[in-house]
This record gives sequence, C-alpha cells and structure tokens, in this order.
Amino acid sequence: MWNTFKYTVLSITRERSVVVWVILFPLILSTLFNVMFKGMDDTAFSLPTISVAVVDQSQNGAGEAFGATMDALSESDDGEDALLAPVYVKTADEAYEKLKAGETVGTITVDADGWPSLQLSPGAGDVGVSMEQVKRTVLADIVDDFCRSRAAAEDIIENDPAALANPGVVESFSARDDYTSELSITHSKTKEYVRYFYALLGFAALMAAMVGLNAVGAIQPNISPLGARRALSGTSRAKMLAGAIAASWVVSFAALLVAFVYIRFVLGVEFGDRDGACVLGLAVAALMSTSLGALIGAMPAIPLSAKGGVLTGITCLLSLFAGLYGTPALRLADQVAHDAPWAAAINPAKQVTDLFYSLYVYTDLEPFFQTIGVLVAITAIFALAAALLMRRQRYASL
Amino acid sequence: MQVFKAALKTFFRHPIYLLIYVVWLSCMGLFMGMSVNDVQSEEYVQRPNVAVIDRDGGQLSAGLKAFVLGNSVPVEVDDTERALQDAVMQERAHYIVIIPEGFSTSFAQAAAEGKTMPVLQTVVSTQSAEVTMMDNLVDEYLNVARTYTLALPDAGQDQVVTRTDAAMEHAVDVSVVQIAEAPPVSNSFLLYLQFASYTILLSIAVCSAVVMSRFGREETRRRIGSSPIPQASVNLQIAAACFVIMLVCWAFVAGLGLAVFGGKLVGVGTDVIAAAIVSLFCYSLFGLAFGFLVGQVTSNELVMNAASNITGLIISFLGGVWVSLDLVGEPIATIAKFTPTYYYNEALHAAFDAAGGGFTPQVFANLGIVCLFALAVFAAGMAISRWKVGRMGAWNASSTKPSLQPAA
Repeated sequence: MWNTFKYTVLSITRERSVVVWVILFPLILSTLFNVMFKGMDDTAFSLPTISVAVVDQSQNGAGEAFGATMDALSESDDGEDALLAPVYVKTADEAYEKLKAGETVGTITVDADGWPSLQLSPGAGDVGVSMEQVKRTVLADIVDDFCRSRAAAEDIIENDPAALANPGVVESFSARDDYTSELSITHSKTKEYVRYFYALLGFAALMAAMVGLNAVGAIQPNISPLGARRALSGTSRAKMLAGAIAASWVVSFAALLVAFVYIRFVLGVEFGDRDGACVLGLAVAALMSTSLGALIGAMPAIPLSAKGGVLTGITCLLSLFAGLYGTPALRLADQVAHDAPWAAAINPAKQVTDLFYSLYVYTDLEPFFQTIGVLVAITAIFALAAALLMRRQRYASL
Repeated sequence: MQVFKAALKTFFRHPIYLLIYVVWLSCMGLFMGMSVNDVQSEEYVQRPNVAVIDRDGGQLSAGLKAFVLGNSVPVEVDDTERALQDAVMQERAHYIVIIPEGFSTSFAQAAAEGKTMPVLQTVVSTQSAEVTMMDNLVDEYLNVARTYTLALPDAGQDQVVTRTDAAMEHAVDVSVVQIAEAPPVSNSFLLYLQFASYTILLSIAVCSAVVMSRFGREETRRRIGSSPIPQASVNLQIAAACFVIMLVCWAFVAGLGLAVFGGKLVGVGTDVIAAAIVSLFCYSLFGLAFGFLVGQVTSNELVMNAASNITGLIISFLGGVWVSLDLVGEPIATIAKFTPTYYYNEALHAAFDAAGGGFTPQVFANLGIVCLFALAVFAAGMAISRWKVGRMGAWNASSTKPSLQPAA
C-alpha cells in the first residue's frame, strides 16, 4: 500500500493537467481578483461629479432656494471635485437631448412654485452595482432632501412663525448632520470582495477532484491501460484503492494549502485571523474533493478525458451558485441560499465558500463546525456512491 | 469532403462535450439571466431589505422605524448578536438600523441644548447604492425632526413626530425617462448575453480544439500527409468543420436566450435584437480562433479545458461583464481594453442603447475590434501550425535520408 501511495503521489505530481488546474489556476485567478478588487476597497471609493441638467421654470424668485442648494453642491472644496455639475438649460426638450446623448444622468425641473422634480436616465445594462446607479441614487437623495426640508420650513413659517425668532431653528433648515455610524457585529469588518476569494477556494476544492479522478481512473481496468495492467498485479484492489485515495487527499490538500497561503499571506486577504481553523477546513475540503474525484473516476463507460469534462462542467455550475462569477453571481448565490437553503447545503462549492465566510463573519466557531459537518456528510455520500460503483464491476471488455 | 465529414463525425461522437459545454454551460447563463428582475420603470433603485432594531421604544424611534421600513422591504431580525450575524451572512437584511436605548430622550435633549447629536448604529451586509440611500433617508428624517424639536420647544415628542412624518411625505417626484420609443431591453437578456461571453468561448474553444487535436496528432498528420489530398484542402475542410461547430454553438446559445427571454423582448426593435445576436456571432469567431490556437498548442483535453476556462474567466472579469469596470479603478479599466470581451460588452451596450440602439456605427466599430482579435489569435495559431509542420518535415527528412542513400 505504501508503494501504491508513493507512486500515486509521484504520478499525480507529474501530470501536467493537475498542476495547471489545481495549483496554477487558483494562483492566477486570485492574482486577477486581487488586482481588480483592490480598487473596490471602501477607502478608494470616490464619487465622480454628477452631471445634471436643470430647467428652471420658477416665477417671482420661487426657485432661489433650490438654486442656492445647487450652487452649494457644485462648488468644489479644497480642489476636490464638486458633487454636482449642473447645466442650466431653458427648455425640457434641451434637457431631454442632453439626457439622450448621455451627457447628463438626469434632469431637475423646477416648477413655477420652486418645487423640483427629477427625471432620471433608464438604468438598463448595469452589472450589479454600477457607478451610474450610485449617481442616480445620490441625485435623487439630494432633491428628496431639499423637498422635505423645504416642506418642514414652510410648515414652521406658516404655523409657528414665532419659532423663527430662535436662530437655531433657521440654521437647522440648512444644517445637515450624519446620524449613522456603521457597527461591526461580525468577526471582521465586512468587505464584499473577500467573498470572491472564498468562492475561488470552493472552485479550487472541486477542481482538486481532478487528482482523485486521475488516481482512481488509473486503477480502473476498464478506464485506462495502466489500470488493466495493475488489475493483474498481486496487490489487492482494496489496498490499491486506499493508497490512491490517501495519495489524492495528500496532493489535493497540499495544492489547496498552496492556494490558501498565497491568498492569505502574499495577497493579504483576511480570513478572520483564524489560520488554524482555515487549515482544518482545507483538509476537510480536500477530503470532499477526493471522494468526488473517486465518484466521477468510478463512473463506468465514460473515457477518462471526458470525465475531466464532466468534472469541469459540474465545477463551473456549482461555482456559479457559490458566487464566483462576479457581482450578479454573488447575488444569485445569496438569493438561492436564502430561498432554498437545501440547495446551498448540497452544493459542496458553496459549503467550502461558507466555511471560510463563517470564520470571517461569526465570532464563535459553531457555524464553522456545522459547515464542516455538512462537508463530511457530503464526503461520506460521495465515497459511498463511489464504493458502490467500483464494487463487483465486471470487465467484459477485458 | 471526406476530411470535413470525418471532423464533424469526431465532434458528434463526443456528445458529452456537446452536452456539458454547449447545453450545460448555457444553463449557467440562463440562471444568471433569470436571477435579475428588471427594475420597474417608475423605480430608479431597487429597495433593499431593511430591519430596524428598536431598543429605545420612544416615539421618535417609532416614527423613524415606520419611515425607514415604509421606504424599503421590511424584514424581521432578532436582537441578538448571532441573529445579526446570520442576517449579514445570509444576506437576509442588507441594512439594519439599531436604535439604542434612550435615543429619543437624548436626541431631544441634544437638539434643544445644541449639543452633539446622538448617532444610530447601522449594520450593512455589503456597501451599495441602496445602503447609501438608506443612510441618507435616516439622516433626512432626523434632520427634519431636529428642526421641529427646536421649533416646538413646548410640544411633546408625539407632535414632533407627527409633523416630521407630514414633512417627510413631500418626497421628490422621480420618474425614469423613456429615451427611445421602444421599451428598454430586458436586463435578463443582456445579462444572459454578457455571461455567454464565458460559456460560448469555453464551448466553442473546447469543442473545436477536440476536433483539431484529433487531426493534429503527429501520427494522424503523417497518415493524412501521405494521402493524395493536398494539405491545404485538408486544413480547409477541418476549418470548415470547426466553423460548423461554432455555428451550432452560436445558434444554440442565441436560440436558447431568445426562447427563454423572448417574452421580455416584446416591443424591442428587431434590429436591436439582431445587433445583439450578430455581436454574439463575432465573439463566437474569437472563440473559434482561440480554439484553433489551443488545438495547435496541445492535444491534451484536460489542458485544453484548463486553458479555455482560465482564459474565459480572466477575459470575462477583465472585460467588465461580471464586475462593473467603473468601480475597479483606472489601471484595470485600461487593461480591459486589451481584451475582446470588453469590446463585445461595449457592442452589446451600444446595441441596447436606450437612445437608439441596433446597428449603430459604435456597434460596428466594437465588433470590428472583436473580429481583429479573432484574426490575431488565428494568426498566432497558424504560426504554431506552420512551426509544427516544419518540425514534422525536419523529422521526415532526418528519418528518410538514410534510406535514400545509395547502397555502398
């Protein structure tokens, strides 16, 4: 068995496709993620100036208050870009043309009484959160705030004119305070981009099944010529299988560990400062991946190369529901996990992703061990199915 | 035509590739497309799921809670750390406001005495435009409430809340402008086509590379080389077969998208839809060229798989089809311009432009660049092919020379 183990490890590490899929792939993709998502960090987030057309139809100076608000927001402080860049136009048609040409995000029309209304460009074609969407929201918030403050001011002027004697009241008409501060209730401060790295580890764990697939394929007499030769050797089938599976687990675990070390220490992605638990999680993920590889490897009547295709197809689809493919996929994964928790529970890619996300979010380790339990159960089911497929197979073609 | 037939036979004898790469992967695009809701024309932003945890129980807190929940999709979250973590982890609530105990009283006191105003704690799952909007709504409500607290020093907080609520009803009238006569193209269909940049590249590249690699094996090349068919004709026939494979993949992906999302495209101009389908065709040409290149480099199916998958993922991310490029910073946006996916994505947006899409010059310009990418990759594949032929020639020369030597 030791010899089987040793030579399986050697043969796996000499297989080019395994090196590419299981080691290089996570390194390349995590480097790409790192380059892309660095710019999305909260601190780097800055809103560019919003271009808006203003049609002032107010009469008798009714639009002065709104004009003053626009002036205040379009002045730049300390050389920074101003929030708004209003373009005053005479007619609604002129504003419409600017909106149509994409020069503005929206049009503010100030009516005869000085009340503004807002017309926004349609938001088709946004991928998840886009800057255009943020601009539309901010613009609507600005005009909303003006309308509500003005309503309050007019109400006080009309019904409680005596209150205007208090300078604090008049000041408060235009004073804007922030009343919210973000609280971190999670183990680490939530940053969405880390989830892509966790999803990538979920993907890598499934792709590591390629190792088990090749190893099991190499002892199946009807799958590979090598398997046919080995079937004639004196070593028992159970010993060969145990050696191949142990070797696959070691290689998969090592490959996932390389990916983890690179993501954690070279790229500096946070894992909630629980590296020990992460390593335990990787070991279980490697176990799941080995049993998945054994299951696909044991499937009869499919050539070994096509089994690689089957594994790729399964991995790609399951990774979609783990949120690997960008913002829309992340939303889809959340939606599925919310609407159909069972679908997330039977998805090993999602479970591996959640393994790391639970370490990142929760202060205690209970959810982590629950996910470990689910992964162990998935591993057991795959292993059982693989054993049933491999047991008592007849090789008529031999 | 024998080689052409044999090439197609090779492809159709591997139905598992057809099933996994063409059918199965296209389903991924369908899931993506079906997962997004088209924002209603009167809405400019989707309302987030919001929970309010009121530890105060005061009148101002009740008013704020009613206002915040009235402007969002309300969800219930228990007031425990674990429940809050669960809500964030499972994305059940995008925004949670925690009103601390004694908030209403301290707010009234601070407003009256001109002291620093108390703040609320918020928990957000991920930063987004919706979260910013909710922050602003909370600020708006409390700013108006502060004004009334100052203006009505003798009134109770119930009056302050009533009048604040009345003022908050004066929200701006927001409308979304229909720029074109036709309705805007469904986001679902657009997302499906964007996602197809990955699936179609993978399916065409792998399927065509499988065929090319079969014919590219050295032994097979030697056998074909010794046949009476000219090499140029062999290459042309293999190329024709790969083109047919590309057509099958393209027609399937386009047909599936139209069949599933066709209902959402009622009223959209035929030229707009045609421009999108033509864009997909041009991108398919790139997939074919890439498959040709991979087929020349390796005949190992697992490596082909890996190369196509890695390349597909990288150029789809960089091309901006999965993450909006205006959020990732200038350097990445510049690098994106060196990928064909960027121009495919631009062509789709130009074709679906609300201000008049269809076959606009912008669409043609972007598709032209996609085709140039295809040509460049094809040329690289040709160079490798020539190099391999040269190598084979050298081998032939070295292996046949001794037999041509006259016997001494």
